[in-house]
Amino acid sequence: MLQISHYTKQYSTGGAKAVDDLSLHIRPGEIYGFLGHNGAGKTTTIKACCGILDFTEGEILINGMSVRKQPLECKKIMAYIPDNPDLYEFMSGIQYLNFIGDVYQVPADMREKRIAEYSADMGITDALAEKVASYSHGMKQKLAIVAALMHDPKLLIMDEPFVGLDPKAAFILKKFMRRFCDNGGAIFFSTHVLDVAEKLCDKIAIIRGGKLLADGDINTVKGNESLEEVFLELVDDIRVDEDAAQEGEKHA
Amino acid sequence: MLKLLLKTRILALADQFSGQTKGKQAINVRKIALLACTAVLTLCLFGFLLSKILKPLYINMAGMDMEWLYFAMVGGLAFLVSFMFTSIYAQGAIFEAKDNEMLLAMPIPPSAILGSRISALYILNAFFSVAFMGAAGVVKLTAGGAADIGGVILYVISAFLLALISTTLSCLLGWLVSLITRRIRRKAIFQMVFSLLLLGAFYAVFLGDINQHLKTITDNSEGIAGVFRGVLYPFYAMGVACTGKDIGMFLIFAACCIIPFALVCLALTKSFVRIVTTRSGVKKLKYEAKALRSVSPVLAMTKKELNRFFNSSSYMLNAGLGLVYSLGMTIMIVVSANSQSAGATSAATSAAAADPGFFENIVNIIGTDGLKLVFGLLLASLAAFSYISGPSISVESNNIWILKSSPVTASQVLRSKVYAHLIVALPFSLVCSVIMAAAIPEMGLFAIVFTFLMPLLAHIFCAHIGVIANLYLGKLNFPSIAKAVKSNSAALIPMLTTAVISLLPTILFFTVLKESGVSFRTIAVISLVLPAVLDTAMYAFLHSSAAQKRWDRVGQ
Repeated sequence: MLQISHYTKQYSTGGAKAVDDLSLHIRPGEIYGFLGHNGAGKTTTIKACCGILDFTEGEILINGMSVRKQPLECKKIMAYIPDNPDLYEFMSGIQYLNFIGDVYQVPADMREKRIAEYSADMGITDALAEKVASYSHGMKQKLAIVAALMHDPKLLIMDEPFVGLDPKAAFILKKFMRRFCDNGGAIFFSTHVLDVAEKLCDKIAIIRGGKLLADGDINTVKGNESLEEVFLELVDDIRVDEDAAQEGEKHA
Repeated sequence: MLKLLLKTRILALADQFSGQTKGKQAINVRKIALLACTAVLTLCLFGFLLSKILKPLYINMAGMDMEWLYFAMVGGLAFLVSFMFTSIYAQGAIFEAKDNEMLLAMPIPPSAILGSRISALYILNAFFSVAFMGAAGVVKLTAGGAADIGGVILYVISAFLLALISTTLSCLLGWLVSLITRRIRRKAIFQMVFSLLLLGAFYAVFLGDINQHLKTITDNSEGIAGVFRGVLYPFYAMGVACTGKDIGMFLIFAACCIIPFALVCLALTKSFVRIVTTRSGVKKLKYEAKALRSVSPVLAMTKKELNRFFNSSSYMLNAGLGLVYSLGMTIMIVVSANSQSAGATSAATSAAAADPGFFENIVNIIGTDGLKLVFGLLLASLAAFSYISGPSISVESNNIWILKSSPVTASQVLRSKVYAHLIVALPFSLVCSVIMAAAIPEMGLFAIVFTFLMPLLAHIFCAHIGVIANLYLGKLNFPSIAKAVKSNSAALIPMLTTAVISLLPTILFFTVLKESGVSFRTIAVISLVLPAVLDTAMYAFLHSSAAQKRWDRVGQ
């Protein structure tokens, strides 16, 4: 569904590479977690997959179509949820959803059904008449999620989707993500919440300084350790057990 | 703490002139220096122009031994102007500043936050006060008025005290507007109407016939003096204090300025936290599902652009003010044309009578039929002040990801911005043309067609060039819509080019071609053809791969 091949991004000619030779393959039915510290290159990669950011080298294919060469066809079958839900604040929630429905040319009856269903799931139905400007961060995030699902995408690309969500909405989103992929969709998302990644993801990729450190099936990547331990070992070169032992010795 | 906050406010003021505030210390110092230089230069220019108007007034008043009335009237004018300008600023800067909550969360006393904001407001008021009173003082000295050191000191202090009155009233009005806008849904429309009323009052006071005003003042000086002694007593006290003859009146004036200012500061300090943290008093709307209508992506984006425009008073006021001007100018021309002609003489003759020197020259060159074409050209040139599409890409700002990740082409996005501009501007243009065609006597078919087509083509030009300029020169990192509209260099291009393209053939005619035998009607036809050709070319550009490539680079 999403194939990233030798993706390299350099913001300025001769400057440092924000992402260097990244290759990933996200297949239908997979929830693919993208882990890394702040500034590791996650958002840069995600934005390139959505056609928002151009890239220096490599190729990104969505359902076999190049994001560069056939951007519109790619965008029609995917949806993007950014880390910071900057939505049109001058619109009401329903106006925003209707706008997205128009842009993706979702038939009116279909969008009414989906708005009713997803808004109820996210618990924002009553607030749809209000201006987005009056929404809390979490409500904006929920609205962005509902908007992303309006055109029934096959690929969901999400940047930190759980930030700002209340426990109920986070639970519903996780359930939805699983159901979405069980029905043949694919999800590529970044997160800092390692517990969520561990429980939710089929595959993960860990990135540091723009370079891929590890990727693959979650159980293969973490082995017998917890994802947190593996992540810290890979990204920060910290041996969690050794640190804990040293800490224990000090206290002793 | 107050010093630091005040510095931040001054940098924010400097930001109005030179872009972003973020940067190094040296850049901040440069910005404050630039602000100071701009202020001094503006003061000198403004003072010079003002002194030309004030001189006859001073001579008249001094001749009647009513020098105090001269100072009282100048003080009143200074108060009016500064109040009109700063009351618009006060609401946003004090009560609806975005950083209010952030600063309140810090260990900063609310009085310091409020103090810094009121101080910045006072500086703005003092600027106007010093400009007016400075010019008035220079006029007195150059006209031979006597002054001693004590009198000059009292005068200077009075000028700075005067700014306290407008600061006090600006704070109160800003507070009132803030209270009202929290309780209404159509906040932007209310703010725009409020601002237009203030601007209208300003124009009514200052753009009339100055000579007529001066004559009225001189003829009614006794009556006006009575009003000042009674209703406008603080200004009377100031007028007498400025003559340097009465320290008692100076003290009364000082008390009139300081006591209300202190009371307002005290009241605002007590209620500042409540005012800025109280949420909207508007009742929450509950959504009830209704049938949704689907439209094309271009129409959806056009509606979105219109929604943004009509929800921002800054956007409407700054980028759409030309539409109000064109309506105002149309009414002025029509009234002028009909007031003396009563249908018997032509509009041209009437206009010539209104301003004999200027219009007679024009009529001599282009004839009365040609003058009727000038009305259409004037309307077209005013299209330059309606640069709605000019900042339309910059205002996307952090929302740009929505369009960039949506399955829409650059052509669709850019055309929607052009269409939104035209949907707002063209009805005004048509109404103005209809009024002119219907109300100006003996227009003739060619002049009527020209009066319709020329402004129409100018608006289409302005809409296209605005989008293209913003596509190439626009930034996305403006912190607000107001900033993107007001401080956007890309918005200047549609203003300048629309005015030039509308008037270029006419300017060439009057400067180079008037002796060449070319008729003004030919120039009018060229005036139509030039924007028509450019409009077509720009429309084609919006569909081109070059536009797509450029759009792809936006936000990279």
